[in-house]
Amino acid sequence: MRTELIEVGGRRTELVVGGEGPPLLYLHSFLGEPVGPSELLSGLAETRTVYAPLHPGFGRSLGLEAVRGIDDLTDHYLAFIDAHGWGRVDVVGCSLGGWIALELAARHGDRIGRLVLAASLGIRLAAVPMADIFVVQLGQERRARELLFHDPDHPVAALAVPRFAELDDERFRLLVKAAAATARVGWNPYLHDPRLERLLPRVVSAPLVVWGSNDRVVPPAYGERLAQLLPGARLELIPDCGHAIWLERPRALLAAAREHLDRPELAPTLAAEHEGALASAALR
Amino acid sequence: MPDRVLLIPARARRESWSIDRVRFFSFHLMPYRGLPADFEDRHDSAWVWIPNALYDPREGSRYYGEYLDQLAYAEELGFDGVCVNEHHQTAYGLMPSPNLIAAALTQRTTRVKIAVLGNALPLYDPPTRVAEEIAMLDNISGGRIISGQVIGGGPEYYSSSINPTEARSRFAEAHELIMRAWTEPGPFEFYGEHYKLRYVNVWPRPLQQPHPPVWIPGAGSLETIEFVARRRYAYMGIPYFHIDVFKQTYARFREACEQEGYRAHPTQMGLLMPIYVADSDDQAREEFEQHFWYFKRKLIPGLVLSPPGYTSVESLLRIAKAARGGFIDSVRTWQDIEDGCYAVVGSPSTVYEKIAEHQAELGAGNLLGLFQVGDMPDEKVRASLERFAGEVMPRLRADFPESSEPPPRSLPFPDKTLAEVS
Repeated sequence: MRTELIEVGGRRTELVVGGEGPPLLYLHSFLGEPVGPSELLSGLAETRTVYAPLHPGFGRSLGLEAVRGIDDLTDHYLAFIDAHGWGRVDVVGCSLGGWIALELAARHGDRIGRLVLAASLGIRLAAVPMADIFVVQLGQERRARELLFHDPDHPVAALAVPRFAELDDERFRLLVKAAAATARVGWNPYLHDPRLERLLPRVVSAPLVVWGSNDRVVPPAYGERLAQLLPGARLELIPDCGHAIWLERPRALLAAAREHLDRPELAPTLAAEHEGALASAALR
Repeated sequence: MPDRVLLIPARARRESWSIDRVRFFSFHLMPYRGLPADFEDRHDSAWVWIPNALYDPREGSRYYGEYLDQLAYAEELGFDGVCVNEHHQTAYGLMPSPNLIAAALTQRTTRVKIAVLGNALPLYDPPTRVAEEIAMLDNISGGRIISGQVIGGGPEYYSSSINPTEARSRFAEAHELIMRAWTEPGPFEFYGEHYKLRYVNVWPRPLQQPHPPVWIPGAGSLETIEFVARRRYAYMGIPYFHIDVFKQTYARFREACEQEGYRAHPTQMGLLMPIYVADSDDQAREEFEQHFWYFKRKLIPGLVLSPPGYTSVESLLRIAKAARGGFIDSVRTWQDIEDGCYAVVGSPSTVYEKIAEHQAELGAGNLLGLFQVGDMPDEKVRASLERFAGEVMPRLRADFPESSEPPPRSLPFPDKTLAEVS
């Protein structure tokens, strides 16, 4: 994988790109994981040309000031897709990236092909509260690891959330910017878009929904709800796994994602079901 | 704009500034004094999520009475002003609406300045509410109001759910809106990123013209220092830092004023510190210390909650490196308090000497004393106030005599450089 700086809609955007095959857009979580080694990304790059841009405000991507809400990120990625001349592109979205992918699929379904959503944000279940990631303060690395991982003592947890005292300036900046860029779109309403849920029946991608069985940020009930709302969706629960599936169980996520991305075209009956869902959504 | 000059009442056209080189303010937090002894073992914060079941209204009601009396008493004792401030959902201070307390004080006092330090502008939507209330207070008080305007501390963004990544731009926009509402003939349209108001036309207009003095509290960030210097407002150091931090901050402020082409006026700088005066140093420490620890151990935790995007990356990096010491949360022993001057405690001579020493270097024209600290009971506060006013203030006033140089006028909006104004 190599890193490039490109312009998207006038914004400087850091892009991690690599691999061979049809394009695949990877939308990252609130951790900004394309910076640094990623077993998931290099695995996906074996059969796909993976495009993993950093969202505005993450890494070296600029333009956060003009982002006031999730719809600005949706527009940003529409511009990204346009800039690459893709009619339709397959998307893997994790956490915050899953939310953006859902917005794209719900509002610009004609531009999104196969869709994999891992521990996706975007909706709210009144009866199942999400954990508040924004109360975790700098220096509370233990608390952060417990929130993000099934096993906070897993070596990858220490890599992803290093001890505050050991952070060099560069890592410090990345971490602080990632938190600010996430808060920009997810502070209030908290990590969801109240208008998104009613649009989900319009999604025609029959997505794969992947969830950690022990996700403490967005509990698995969210995965179940998404799988109910998204026509033709399939839910895959990964045991002994927390929110950061891409870090804690990258191989399981990779296997599930590949299987979904490479499977044959949708059966016609399923496609017809989608049409029906679309029609009823339009009537509502 | 000549028509604006005609609108200014004759009474307010006179120089209303006190030009004493040092003015004394009694600053109050109005803390909740009744937290249980084991509070800090069971709770990590006196802010945002501190259970409000811990608030006993019968106790609280009594505190309000005592605290208002203490502030009114400061006028009687000869202070130049009193200060109130805004904090939400915390035992640290029971003034979610400082303007309400200021309103009460307009009726309890006749002479002192009443400084609201300050209204957390991003928490008001539309912020014309602040322009209205401060103008009301200014009219009611006969022109005694100082308008502090702040971004609001980190905890306020958890308490209000206002997006902390917008804190600074909301503050800048709200500030401009308020200043224009006070100075620009209305009605006019305000079209900002955060606030879009078709008709800005604030009634009443402030009595002090063109507007009440503006004080901006800051924690030492260069952006705030430069902003205040540029607009010729007063800079108020946010307390609880080591005295050396303040010395650097005020040196930076003076430099920033010079870069703007003028000398910082003493009235443009304010310093807040906890003060306790008793007959002897030993007596002062004995009477004071427990209340400081209540303050530090129970009320301070949570104050430094830092929501994402509230502070710029580079500022955070600087704070993270500088931290380890330098702020009240690192204070462990009485010696730490003395060394960092986190509180000025002692006999009248000791307190006088300490303040005079720092003052010679800081040159702050507004000395803000926090006399009620932590769970300090009423009688101690009053005794300390009396000793300070009777035995410390006169000596400091004598050391720092009047200045005939008037303070600079703040810049009007829209933003202009000094060259454009003169």
